[in-house]
Amino acid sequence: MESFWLILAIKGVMIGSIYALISLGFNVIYRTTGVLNFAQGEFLMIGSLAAASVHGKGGVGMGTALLLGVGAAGLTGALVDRLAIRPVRHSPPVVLVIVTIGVSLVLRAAASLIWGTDPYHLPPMSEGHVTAGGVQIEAQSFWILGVAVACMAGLALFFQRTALGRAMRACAENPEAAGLCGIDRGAMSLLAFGLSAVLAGISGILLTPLLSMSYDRGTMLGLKGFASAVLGGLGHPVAGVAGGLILGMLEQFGAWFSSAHKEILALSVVIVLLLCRPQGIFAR
Amino acid sequence: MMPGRRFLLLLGAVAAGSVLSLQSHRINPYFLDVAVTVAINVILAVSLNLINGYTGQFSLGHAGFMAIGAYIAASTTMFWAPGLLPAASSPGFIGMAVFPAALLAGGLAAGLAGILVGAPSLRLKGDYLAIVTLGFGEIIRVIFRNLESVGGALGLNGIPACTNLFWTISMAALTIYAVTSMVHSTYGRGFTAVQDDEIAAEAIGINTTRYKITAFVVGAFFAGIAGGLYGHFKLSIDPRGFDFMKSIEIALMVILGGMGNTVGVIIAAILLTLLPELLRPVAEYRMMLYSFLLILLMLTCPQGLFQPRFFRRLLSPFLRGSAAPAEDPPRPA
Repeated sequence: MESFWLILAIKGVMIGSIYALISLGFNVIYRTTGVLNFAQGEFLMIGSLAAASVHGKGGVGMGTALLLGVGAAGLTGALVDRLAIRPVRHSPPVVLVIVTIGVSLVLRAAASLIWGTDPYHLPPMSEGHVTAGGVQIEAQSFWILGVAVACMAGLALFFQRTALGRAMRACAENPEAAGLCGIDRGAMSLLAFGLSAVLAGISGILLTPLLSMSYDRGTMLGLKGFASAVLGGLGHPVAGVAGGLILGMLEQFGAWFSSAHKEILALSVVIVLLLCRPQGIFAR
Repeated sequence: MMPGRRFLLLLGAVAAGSVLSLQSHRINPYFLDVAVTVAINVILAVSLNLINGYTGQFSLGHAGFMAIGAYIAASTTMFWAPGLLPAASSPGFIGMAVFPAALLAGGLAAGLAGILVGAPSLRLKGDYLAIVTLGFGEIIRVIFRNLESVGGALGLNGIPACTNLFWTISMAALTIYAVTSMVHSTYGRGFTAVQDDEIAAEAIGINTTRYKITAFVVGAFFAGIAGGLYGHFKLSIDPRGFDFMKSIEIALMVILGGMGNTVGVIIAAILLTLLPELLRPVAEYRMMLYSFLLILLMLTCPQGLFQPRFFRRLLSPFLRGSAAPAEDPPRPA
């Protein structure tokens, strides 16, 4: 019985780190541009499908496939910023939300035309498993955890230490003043979308060996990343990571009660929190 | 428009509906199908326009209300009414007496849900409200998918074919009549006041809470009726038919027509229903086209197509420089 709870907890942390990565992507865009990007899940899906299709059908090596997938996601993000977000940058938030929803639908439709509606698989990055405390842990889990931690640390360093990262934060803090200081806000927005899409692509590729990926799976994952970000408080990347882990755990233990209503859980979390604590659960 | 004239138009539409319905065997069934679909979409778009357009709340969960109406109405004609009145299971009786009651029940149930979904609008606005209503719509769909008594993910089949031109045209006319009468009445100016400036509206004594909830309840009620009509027209419903895409489709009609512009919204609903029919050869690109249209509209004219300003902008290259409309005001920080 003990090992049963342990399995749930480990699974929760795995799924939670994926959510945490997606929520990081959300926050990168939200902090730099103030846009709630609902196409985040589609970036994830594109990264994953691009990698899986060149690996499975094209026979390209794993490493190259991963790079291609992440690149495809990043490129999509940059294109979305240039073609869809930039022209409406000064519109009210509702317009921006509708535009990103529209973008997500276009990407979904495009993906179903390019890759079809069948699910794709990726082999795990390394086979085998580790036995600890009477529980078998798949090696892929360590990859997920490691890459997630590395991404978070890298991002933290980037935002705290580099001039570019600081410029992006300045845009979030005060767009007018940032512009006056000579920061190119358009370029920062482009960078934010590219970076965030790269993060989403990475999380998609990490996730694919666990769950298969198809053109319509991104939306729900994006929504969960958003739920994590809201849970931690929008605009607080670290809290969003914690939110992702909490949501992952909640879902695993919730699924133990009723797997049918798993999807409702993330949505309910979003609704209740936006209503009762829009500043997130960690804010004082 | 004088209220009397509006009422006469309603009566005229109902009369036209009954005549068309009696003569429906002479009409090409394909056109009949399209006409019913157009009318249902008009109901959906006009009712959403009350919430999104006139009252300025942004709801993306209209398909959820439609689902509630469809399921409740179908359950009424299929299970509840025959259960209560075993004699009432003759098709004629269901079509004439049970069906209107079923539509009403579906509308009322959706209206009740409207209270629940509208409540967040008291605390949230703009993008956050859009997200919360979207979430509610999805939750409603997932609940129906897990409800085995109405077929779960497979959906509900064998719904009696009660929807005809008479009911759809009458209901569409009733929706338009109710919404326009409401917003053009002394009471109804409050909806527009809430949209224009909520704080100012409150300051002059308008109960903004009541207006917002009323908009959600009335909008949801008519969406529920549209759902009931839809179910008894398609004869089978399944949760996927009421997903987020459907909400987007309805929202697109409102945005295209211009928020708070009933005539524009009706035209948009008709156009957007006919468009896929014309584009049938490229059906798989339909969703993509819709989404592109949505983005394009947001980029070029978020105020909607059917107003003078759009045509001015369209023509501005051919007019003098001074005729070009002003840019949108920048987003407040």
